[in-house]
Amino acid sequence: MKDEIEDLIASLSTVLRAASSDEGKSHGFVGISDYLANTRVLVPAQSPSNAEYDAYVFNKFVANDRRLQAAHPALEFTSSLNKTSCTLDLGAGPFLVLDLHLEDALEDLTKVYFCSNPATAGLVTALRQLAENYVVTGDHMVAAVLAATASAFENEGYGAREMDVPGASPEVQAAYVIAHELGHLLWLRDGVPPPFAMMVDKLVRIDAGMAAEARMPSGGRPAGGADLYGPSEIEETIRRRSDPAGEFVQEIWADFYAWAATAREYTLGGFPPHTVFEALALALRNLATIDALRRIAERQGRDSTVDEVSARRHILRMLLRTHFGDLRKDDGYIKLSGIPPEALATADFNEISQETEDRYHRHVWDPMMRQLGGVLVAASNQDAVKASYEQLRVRFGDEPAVLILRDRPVQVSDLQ
Amino acid sequence: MIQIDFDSRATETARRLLSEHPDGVQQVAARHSGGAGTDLALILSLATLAIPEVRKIIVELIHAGKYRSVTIKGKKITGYGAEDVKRILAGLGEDAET
Repeated sequence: MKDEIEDLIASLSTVLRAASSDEGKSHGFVGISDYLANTRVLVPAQSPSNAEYDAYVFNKFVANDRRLQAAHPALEFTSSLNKTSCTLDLGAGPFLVLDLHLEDALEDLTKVYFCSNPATAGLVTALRQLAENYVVTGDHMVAAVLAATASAFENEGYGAREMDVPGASPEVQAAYVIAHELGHLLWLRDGVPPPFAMMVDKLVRIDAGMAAEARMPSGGRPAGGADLYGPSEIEETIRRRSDPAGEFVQEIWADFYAWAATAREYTLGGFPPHTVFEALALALRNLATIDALRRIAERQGRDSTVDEVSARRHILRMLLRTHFGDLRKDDGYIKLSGIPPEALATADFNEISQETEDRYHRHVWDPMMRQLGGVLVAASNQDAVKASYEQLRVRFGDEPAVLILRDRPVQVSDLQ
Repeated sequence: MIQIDFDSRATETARRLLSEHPDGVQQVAARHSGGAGTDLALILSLATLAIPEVRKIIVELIHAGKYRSVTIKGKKITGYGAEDVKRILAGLGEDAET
């Protein structure tokens, strides 16, 4: 009898594996696990238990939206120095790949946002993330030197890692990433709803006009450099951003879907509205910072799409305002959410988003980038980097960055 | 296996590789959390890369810089400098001078 039960369990497991694993989602020569192992630098997750929470949130989002149930997305977890969650299709249907190390990175930046010494904590966090990005691009010398510097400062207590993060912010941000990717799945399935594309077109024109007005000195071109805000450049920007089949509209759609789905889920779930709105604004800023640090390592220079990320945030805010109005005065929302009107009175999402953006800029982004500039100038001295790398190589072996990032063996006294 | 994100100048070549070698060339479509995505990305098996005709096409494409990135053994190379090309070709087991 025991054997029969074990046989039954074994055959059920086989059927379930076939229905849900990578083999069921790929008709090519590579399954999802092999693909991720070959295209990323995998590392153990700092908080593997986050996967359980993410799976719960994913199932909740899918259960709330019939279109997603029909899309049959499969969930795959990874943890990599690439820090990239994505919607991925290997040819036989969509996967939602969640990178647990991206959640670690979001959490570290959130700690910097809330901490009292953001200048140092921000720099150390940026050094760690940059070192990881250089491992991914295979620049192991720069990676090792930045990793050693981050390790030394972290061992002195300057990093964000050991800090606490207040409230439910990381959970809400992780949910935002999941919902954003689900938004992409819906887009791939259904395309953009025409009224949404028209609304984005209007807002893109307003935003481009405002940007041109703000940055163009009265009566002429900006001094020196290319004219990014001349009439033909503005027209080109509007054309690119308003293309209903283009990347910009798709990203705005995914942002909008994620914002609405996450705000609904968490405010209905009893989270304080202020925490939810602040976390959503933080998710957008943190993802932009992670992307900016990735671009530095990938040497993606300044181009015509350099302000796409901030334009996305700005247009999203206008879109939310236009679509939802003022939630504090929306009787339907108040009734649906069950939030006491007095709690909502101090929680206008537009105001909170703007405040969060402003604080992030002053507290995290500006100091981080100012200090990082000096570090990157030093890192461009190839002879000095090579000399430091040689010392690290002798102590820790070839390509030592991953080991240094993991074990933090370098102390301040070791740095020259 | 390696992954190549082709740039728009190499779309035709990529599509030809995909149709002529369906057993060893696979298309990947991805949208990343940072907003970036792939235009046309292919993964190629090492066995397919060993076919001289395929290898020649890929090496020419690398020399011409018609890629956005090449990922080999988890390392994503995005540059087009001599050192980057050398690293990509070394990853393919190819001499940089060829």
